[in-house]
Amino acid sequence: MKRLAMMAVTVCGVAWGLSGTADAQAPMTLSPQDYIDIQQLTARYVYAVDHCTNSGYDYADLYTADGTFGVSTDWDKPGKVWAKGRDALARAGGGGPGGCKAKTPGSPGYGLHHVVTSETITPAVGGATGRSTLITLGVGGKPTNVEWQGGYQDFYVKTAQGWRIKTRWHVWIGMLDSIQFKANPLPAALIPDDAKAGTQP
Amino acid sequence: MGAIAVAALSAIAAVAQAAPALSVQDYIDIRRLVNSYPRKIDHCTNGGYDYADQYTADGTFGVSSAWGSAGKVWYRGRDQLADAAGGGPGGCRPNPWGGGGAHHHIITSIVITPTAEGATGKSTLISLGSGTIDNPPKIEWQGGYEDSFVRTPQGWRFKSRLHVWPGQDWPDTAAEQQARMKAQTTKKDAQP
Repeated sequence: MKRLAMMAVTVCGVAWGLSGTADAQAPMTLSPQDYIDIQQLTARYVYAVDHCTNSGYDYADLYTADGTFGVSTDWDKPGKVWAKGRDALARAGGGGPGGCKAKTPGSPGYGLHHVVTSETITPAVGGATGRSTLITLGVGGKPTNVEWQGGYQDFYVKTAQGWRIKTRWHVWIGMLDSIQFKANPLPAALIPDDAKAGTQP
Repeated sequence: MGAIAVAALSAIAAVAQAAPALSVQDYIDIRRLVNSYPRKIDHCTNGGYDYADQYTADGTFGVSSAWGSAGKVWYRGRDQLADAAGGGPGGCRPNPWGGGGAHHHIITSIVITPTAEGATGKSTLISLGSGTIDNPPKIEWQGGYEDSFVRTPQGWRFKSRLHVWPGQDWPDTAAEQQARMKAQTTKKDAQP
């Protein structure tokens, strides 16, 4: 019984990782250039999100027009969508139609710097999936504070403009225990329903 | 109409000329150049000349307080660049950038963009200090680098590298910075 339940979870996880595609198509074949282009896409992410360049639209334009960013409490598990579409994503990047919001002590993202490592890219039906580790520096407004903050689980698609993020989940196990949110608690509306304190690995 | 078409074609040709595509091997070679930088700067290998030889003969290292700005050139040419790595014609000396302790460069998120001359690069710099079990090492985000790369007969090299640390108050010369660090033994170490 337990085994069946495990299998069901795994199957759901795979289907979710493939952005809901359930047909039997073979995964896309990625060329060396595709791997490089996807790496470049994820490398550009940190500058766009940390510096609100182009009013957050450099960040938004890393995604497809209907792209989403959300936060999840575990790998292979959907969570809460924080932003969908270009303007919402630009807001997630610190900007939006009204321009960049000033980051001051106590405001979300103040003093934070994203460091993304250990990226893996895997061909998938309709594109590619990605997984990486996120380390954040400057947590709680202190430049030398560092924190492991889980990582990213992505789905990429190749568009006429090049590779783009279709979905990015910030997988943050034990997020409620993080120094970041102890210092600046998250609004309840942004917390995934299954997030629990005391689960930081 | 014909003139417009010719102008349009010329514009397309100019754009194509402005940013030729990099091959997969070019990306690999440039990443290798960037990734081998920390070992050479942190350990003054070959009297600092391993560091210097990552640059073109007229290559420069400088500092800047904002992304996308010109900055201040601190070192130019092979001997000066070897000096930046703690070496030079007289050999290696104690790390001039340590601020009282060893620091290690960690470079991440390397973005490479083709240009007419070769390529530009952008990366993140993290500095990791040394420590003990009771006094753990400090880690700090220190901005990053903005580079221009050119392909030479010896392979890809830095034509220029700028250490961009937003908000940092840089002096005009490396000597001033080293004197400042000696006086303050601060963690805000400028790092080639």
